Formats: sequence, C-alpha cells, structure tokens
Amino acid sequence: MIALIDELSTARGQWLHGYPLMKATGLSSGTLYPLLMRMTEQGLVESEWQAPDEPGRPPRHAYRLTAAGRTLAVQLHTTKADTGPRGAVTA
Amino acid sequence: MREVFARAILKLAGRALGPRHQVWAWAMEAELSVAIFEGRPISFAIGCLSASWRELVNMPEGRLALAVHGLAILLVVPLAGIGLWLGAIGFPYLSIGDVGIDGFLAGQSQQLPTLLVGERAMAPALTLVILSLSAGQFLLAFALVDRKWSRVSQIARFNAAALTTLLLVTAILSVAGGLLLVMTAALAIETLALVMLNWWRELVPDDGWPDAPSQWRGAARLRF
Repeated sequence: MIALIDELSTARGQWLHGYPLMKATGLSSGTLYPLLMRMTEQGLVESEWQAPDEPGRPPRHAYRLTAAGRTLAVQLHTTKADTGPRGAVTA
Repeated sequence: MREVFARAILKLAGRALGPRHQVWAWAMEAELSVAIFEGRPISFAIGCLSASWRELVNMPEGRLALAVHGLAILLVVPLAGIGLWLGAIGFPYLSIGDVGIDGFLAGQSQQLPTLLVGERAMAPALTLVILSLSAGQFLLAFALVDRKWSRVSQIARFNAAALTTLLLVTAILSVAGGLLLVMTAALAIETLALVMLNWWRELVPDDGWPDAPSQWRGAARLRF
C-alpha cells in the first residue's frame, strides 16, 4: 500500500491508469486492484473514466489521491523521515 | 490464442466480482489491451482473477454464493448421483444379499428379490420414484446455482413428496428401509441447509448495483 501511495503522491494530482501503476509500483494486478478497491472505499483514492488514447478502445479507469490520501501520504513520509534508515530513530 | 484465454479469465473475474463491483471488472478489462500490447495478458488476467476471488470472500453476497455452490456441489449433486445409482441397481426391490459392500462392488450382488411375487408389479413404479427423486436433486442443484429461489422451493417440495411416497410404499411392502432412512436423514439435512440459506440471503444486500453513477455505465460501454 505504501508503494502505491508513494507512486500516486509522486504524480502530484495527475490521473494514473491501472497498468502503468502496476509497472511503476512492481505490484501484480492481483495485489494492485484489491488495494485500489480498499483505498477507494476508504476515501483515499478517487477514480474516473477517461477516453482512450486510440479510437475503438474502451475508456480507461484512472486514479489519483484524494485530499485524505494526500494527507496520509504526507504522514507516511514524515514517519519515514523521523524513523530514518533501518528503523533507527533520528534526533 | 493467449488473448482469447486472457479475456475468458477476465470474464470469470468479472462474474466473481458481481454487480456491486462491476466497475472494477470493467477497469480490469480496459487495462487488458495494454497488457496484451506489453505481452503479458495471461499473468495480468490471472492476477485479476485472484483479486476477484479474494473479494468474493470479503463480500456478503460472495460468501452467500460460495455457500450456495458448496451446498449444490457437496450435498445436492452427490445425493442425486446416489439416487441414480440406487435406481440402476434395483433398489429397493433387489437386495445384494450376504455379499456385503465389498462383494457388491466386486459385482457379486445376489440380486435377491425383496418383493413377494404378487407385489413385483410395483418394481417399475419404485424405480420411477427413485429416479424422479434423483432428477429432482439435479434440478435443485441447477436452481440453487442460478439462485431461482421460488424454483428451489418448488423442487424441494417435489423431492420431499417423492421421498415420502417411497417411505410409505416400502413400509407397506415391508421392504428393508435402512438405506431409505439414511436418505431421509440426508434430505432432512439438505432441507435444513436450504432454509438457513434462505434466511441468510434475506440478510445479504441486494445483488443490484444502485450506487454506480449512470455515466460510468454508459462510459464503460462507449467506443471512442
């Protein structure tokens, strides 16, 4: 989930599709979609249908963090910064 | 070929997600074309299928569907098969004799008639009732899986009537009824399971999908 939140927060509000998210995070479709479902239900991720790049293709589902999701991403980054490498607490 | 196989797997995944999560099934389908272009359609589709099966267990209607299929496959269909087998071996008017189950399975059934001479005209009718019961069980399994609950109720009543007829006739004819009592117990357990499933389905949210915006449904089916 952290990898997914990291990738979505890096996108800075840009909509991302499912397959590129899979490649960027290294998650399989079997892991990515349940995470997206859970995060959407919890209000961390929002989605919309977008027109395809090529004519004749179906619309694609795109995702980005909501305000709550961005807040969580910031909290996670802060926690990671405070913890430092290998779990050591930095002063 | 791989594309066809991947699409079939995704269709299965879509069915498992049910109407409430259908938008996710469409989302997965839309990404399949990218997976095909990248040369990884099968692994993508199999991942989606595993995701949908995991969601099945998390959804109330998914757990109900698993229970329904479990009852149909593990109890109803085996009972139907046993009924078919009993009809084929001439139960209850032919007895296997003293050979025991081992001997019977080895084809050594003594096939002793259990009916008196004047009662043997009943034999075809008894076979018909046994086979009707078996056919009723098969139809019950289909109706269960299709979730046609009024039909399940009708077929269950028919099966109960057939079994009651069998019990009464064999009692009147004084034919050995040990196996029939086992069948009666099995059918009683099946009926109890059906009643419980019916109560459970009334607690499960409706299988419809009321919360999807209509634009999504339209958008997912548009071709640009």
